[in-house]
Amino acid sequence: MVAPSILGLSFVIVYPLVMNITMSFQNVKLTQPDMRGWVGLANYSHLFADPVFRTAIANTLIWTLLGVVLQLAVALPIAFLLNAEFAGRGFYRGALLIPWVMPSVVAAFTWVWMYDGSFGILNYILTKLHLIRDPVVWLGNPNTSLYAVLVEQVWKGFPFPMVMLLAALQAVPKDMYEAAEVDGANKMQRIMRITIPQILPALALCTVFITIWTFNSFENIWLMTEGGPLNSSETMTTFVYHNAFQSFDLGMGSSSAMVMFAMLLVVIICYARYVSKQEER
Amino acid sequence: MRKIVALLAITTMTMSIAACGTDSKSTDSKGTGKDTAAPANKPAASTGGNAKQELTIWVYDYLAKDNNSSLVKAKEKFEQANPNIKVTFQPTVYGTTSYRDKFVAQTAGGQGPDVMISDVVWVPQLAAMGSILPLGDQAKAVVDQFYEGPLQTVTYNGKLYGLPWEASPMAIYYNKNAFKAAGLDPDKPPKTWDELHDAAKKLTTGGKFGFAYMGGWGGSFDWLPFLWQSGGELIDKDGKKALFNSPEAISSINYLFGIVKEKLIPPAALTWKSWDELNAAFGAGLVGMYQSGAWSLDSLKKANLNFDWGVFPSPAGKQQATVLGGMDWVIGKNTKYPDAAYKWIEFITNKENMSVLSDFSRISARKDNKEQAIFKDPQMKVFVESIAFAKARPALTAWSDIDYKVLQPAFLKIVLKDADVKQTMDEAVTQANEILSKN
Repeated sequence: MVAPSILGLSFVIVYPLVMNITMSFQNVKLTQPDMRGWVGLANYSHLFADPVFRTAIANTLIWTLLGVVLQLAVALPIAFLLNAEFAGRGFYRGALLIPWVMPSVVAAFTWVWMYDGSFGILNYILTKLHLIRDPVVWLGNPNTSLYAVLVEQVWKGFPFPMVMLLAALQAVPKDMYEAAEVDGANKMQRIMRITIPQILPALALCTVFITIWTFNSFENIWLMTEGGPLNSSETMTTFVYHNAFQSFDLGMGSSSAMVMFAMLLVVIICYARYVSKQEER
Repeated sequence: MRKIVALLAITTMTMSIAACGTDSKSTDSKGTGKDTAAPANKPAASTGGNAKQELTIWVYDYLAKDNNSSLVKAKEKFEQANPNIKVTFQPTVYGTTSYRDKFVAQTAGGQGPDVMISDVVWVPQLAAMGSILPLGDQAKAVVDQFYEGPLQTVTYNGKLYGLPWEASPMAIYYNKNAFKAAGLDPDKPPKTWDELHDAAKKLTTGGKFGFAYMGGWGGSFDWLPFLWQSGGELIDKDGKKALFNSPEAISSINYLFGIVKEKLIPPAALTWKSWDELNAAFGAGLVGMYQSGAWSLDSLKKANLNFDWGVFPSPAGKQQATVLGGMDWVIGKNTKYPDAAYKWIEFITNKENMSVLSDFSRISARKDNKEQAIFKDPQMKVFVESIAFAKARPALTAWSDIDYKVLQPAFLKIVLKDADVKQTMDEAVTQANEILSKN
């Protein structure tokens, strides 16, 4: 029964992974096909000596941490709001999903236009409000590019945790609240003692998912800045792409992908431990 | 059990994500070895000489938009003359990522087109990778029909890797109405660096700007004409030493990026990465002048701009110079019909088919291109005459690397971080020399 899927998985996952590990110890440059050969750890030592790679790691950490926190910080309050009863709730539940269902290319280019240095609406509003005097080139300035793209990421990413958390909130049995109310628990206590523990598994799962997705974001960064200017928005994903598909250095590309993989493994291990703790209970 | 399933599921998911960057890579390690897909692919081809030979050809998408395209018509003519060859165009969006990288990845995986149009600057790299085939002796008969500059772009290590098709020098587009409004004579466009700078300054007023460039790439392409105008060079003749920290080169950097720092270009230009953006900014009247090739003519003409515009040749620093862009025809290494493929590229680059390029307002790389109909067009004339002093970028494998990893960051540092020009370029030359020594 499981044989076909294992076979399928080994083709699309095990094989590429093994290839990737092998290539990370080889010199594989498409521009110099005859130079191929084993180089031991040379790719890795080049990698860690590369200041751009260190920038990419730092940016990835900022990007992921800030991105996940912001996505949850936006999603959680909205989930609470949407859980309350009010007129037009159905409409808002649907409307807030729009960023999530929008094709990523459309979303990225929409934001590129909003950020534009000559015609962008953001600059227009900010100058009208006298918050800035000259238009800011949000995506062309090394100080702002990463955060400008991050805003798009949060906008695009928050509906998923929002929906997940909303579902979890609705699954909390009403009678628990009633019982707590009878026992004299105030509103804060009800949230802290009932709601939060009840939605914690969903929250954990959400966090893992969006951590992985945010960590792996590529198309929005690529479409909006290509990791630039001056590597200011370079993350691990764009770094791998630059190396593998622009410099055609697959050895370096593979070794940096391995570092990415190792970083993701940390997230998975944390989650696995959380899951096993849950089950022990 | 639930634990294990959950773990498996999540590991699978991350792996597939972490590995997705490697998917196409793993295929090419297979491809560089042996062409595993070949036997399964169209076995009919081997059954006899009369079987239809199918050529898949990549062309820039705008060249084959519909059946009225003159390139498509030329294809039909070719198929009539060669009934045993069937040509299929695959219109592909022009761009380093969308076109070149896609070709490299597909070819490395044992696939890829039989023939394609290539940007002149990609050919040496593709040749070094072995993803395109050198032409046989039959090409020797036709080479002297092409201009030297374009021919250089298909020559790598002394071998011919394709035939030149289009030659595009850059010149400067200018808004004649804006010139008048700024008190400049539109019939006497700038001829020297000083005049160009002065014009840019006068045109920059009231939210409009004098000049523009592709700042997203650091402006390295826009800078090349100025480098050569200054008498500077990129790399020495042996391709071993970078020369862009020479006093001449520094003067050209100071000149172009001085214009940028003086804010004679729109701030948004710092993110521009495509000709479309430049064309649009010019069309909207935001910029009074910008450098581009004949490739911008068509879209500007179609846009029916509400002002008068023209083109003037690149100005002279120490000398007049500009950069040569354009298209070549090359043969993919996985083709099963190299002879049919060659037949096509010889056909499409021959004299009769120069008119295909005319229809797209492009200049043929052929020496007899004076006979092209477009030569009557006054704007076109500027480009045609510019070929005389246009230079090709160095035919080096390392050129893209030097451009992307050294020049562009250096220029961005100068513009965005106000880095010292001389020091930045000294560092850039050291980095470039290191790249050159590895190739």
